Amino acid sequence: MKFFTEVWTVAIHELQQILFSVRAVMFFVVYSTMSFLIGSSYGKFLGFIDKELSDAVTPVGSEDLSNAGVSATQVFQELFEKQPQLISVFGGREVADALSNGDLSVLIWFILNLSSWVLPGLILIIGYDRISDDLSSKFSRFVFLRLRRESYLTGKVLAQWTVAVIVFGVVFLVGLLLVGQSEYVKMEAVTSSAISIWAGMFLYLLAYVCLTVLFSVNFTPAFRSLALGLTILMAFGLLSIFKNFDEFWLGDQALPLWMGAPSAYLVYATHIFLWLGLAIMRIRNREI
Amino acid sequence: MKAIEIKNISKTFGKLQAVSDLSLDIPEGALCGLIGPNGAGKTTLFSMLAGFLRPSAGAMFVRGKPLVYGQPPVGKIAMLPQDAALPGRQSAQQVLELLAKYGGRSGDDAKQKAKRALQMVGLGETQSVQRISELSHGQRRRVAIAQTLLGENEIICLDEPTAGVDPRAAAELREMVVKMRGERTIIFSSHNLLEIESICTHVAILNKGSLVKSGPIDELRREEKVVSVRLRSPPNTPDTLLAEIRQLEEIETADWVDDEPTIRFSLNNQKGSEDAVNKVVSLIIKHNGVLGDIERGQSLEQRFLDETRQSDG
Repeated sequence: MKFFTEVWTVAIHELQQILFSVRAVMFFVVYSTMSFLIGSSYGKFLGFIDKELSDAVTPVGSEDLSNAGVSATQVFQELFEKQPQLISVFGGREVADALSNGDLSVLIWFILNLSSWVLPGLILIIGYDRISDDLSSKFSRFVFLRLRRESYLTGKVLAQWTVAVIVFGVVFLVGLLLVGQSEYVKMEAVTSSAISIWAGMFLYLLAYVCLTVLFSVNFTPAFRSLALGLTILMAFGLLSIFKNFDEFWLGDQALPLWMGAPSAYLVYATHIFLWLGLAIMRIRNREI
Repeated sequence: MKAIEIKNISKTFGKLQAVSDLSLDIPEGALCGLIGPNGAGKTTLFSMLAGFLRPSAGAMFVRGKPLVYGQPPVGKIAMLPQDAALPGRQSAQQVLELLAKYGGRSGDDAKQKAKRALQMVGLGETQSVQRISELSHGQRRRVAIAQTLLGENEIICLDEPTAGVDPRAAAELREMVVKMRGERTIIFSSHNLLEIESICTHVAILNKGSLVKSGPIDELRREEKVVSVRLRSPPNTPDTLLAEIRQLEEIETADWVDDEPTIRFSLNNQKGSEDAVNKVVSLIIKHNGVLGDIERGQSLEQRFLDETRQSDG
């Protein structure tokens, strides 16, 4: 069988297995619930901007922003001009520009922020045992008599990535619809930024799927892969507090990636290359 | 033609030498029994053949083509691993279909192949659609054996296929293997030496990771240097008789068999064995023993014990 046929065969089976699993449903429920809880708070947040932040940027005091003819984008423009230290809090220059230009709505910004914390963990929970279980039960022996090891691994990556993209896609689309109901947002601009977010998200999800697969291929039994994976993700999260580290670690590059920053693309592509390469090397050389 | 050619293969795990400089040829169509005590290296050898383990040294060939570690031996080797588990949440039919697809079969073909393989190992419709976790140990073993029958592989390796299987199922399995004898090359490992003796055409004895003896079973028997003489009536002076037999220059060892009126002796070499047997017979008659049957050679079990003891030093 050719490589791509093998990958396809593994991916289709894997997809069926994951999509109808309890964990995938849980993934969707947790992620969408959290996102939509934020969505429902969106109106309140805009109210907060309206009432509280307008004091900082306009002389109109408690006057309603819409009545005053001030848009949310103007609020952000003036906010970032007067308090530039907030730019890094919001996720860097690209994000600040997008918020100021109206290319990125606050709701989407929230969902993306949440995603950068929640998705890596959820992806790990979905995939930590997908290879590890086969290796520890030695079912892989039956498989590797028939398939190239790299096809098996690539098929697994492809399926897990597809599931993550589907879940994110549904949540994101609903988020966009909610945004569309807001009068503060230019829908055309949001739609154009959505493409950039989508492109970034493909890389983002792939990177974490590759990281999960790397854990899964290295650590058996499966619970060890999960425990170590979560520990390492948390450790990386903590490390990103340090200045130099945040330029290279995925977590800090997530929002710039979604805004289309080339440096973030480079960071993500490097991580994907590295982790997928290590995972393939490991599975090729691993005795089973 | 050689179906399998193993050349100076070795495998170490840290300080443990699991297989040591082992060379073995298995002719096409042979049903080769692989025997050895626990830890002899049988499973390690199987695992290297199937590509589960990377040999530390040496090379292996299937019909002259080298086996490369990391490349699936599709079409060459089917394998029943000893301790690999099948996913319990799926049915036997589903798992076999999947494995058939992995082996390059398309949807319907995979379905048919899986169905046929399950029939061949005697699993009915009901058991085929049951979750594997709901099947008995013996039935699960049958499913694992069925996966070796999915493709048209030249070589089938069965690592202790009858272990943990009830006697009836074991007999059916042996019957199935015998049916395939000659069509495919089969390597069959077992601790049941009677089983090996009854179905195999060839045998390879392993001990401590090394090959002790190999070849066609018949030849191994022919080259036996052991002779057993059964007496209908014991001699008057058994100890004297034994001492006199031991003094013969052609005799290497001689002993009474426990609780039996039988003398078993081994020859220094096979040449002149008839003369030696005649001399022993004369001595028995001289000591008033009544002669019964004379058997040359020994059971595979005895041969196995002798060979492994010898290699233990």
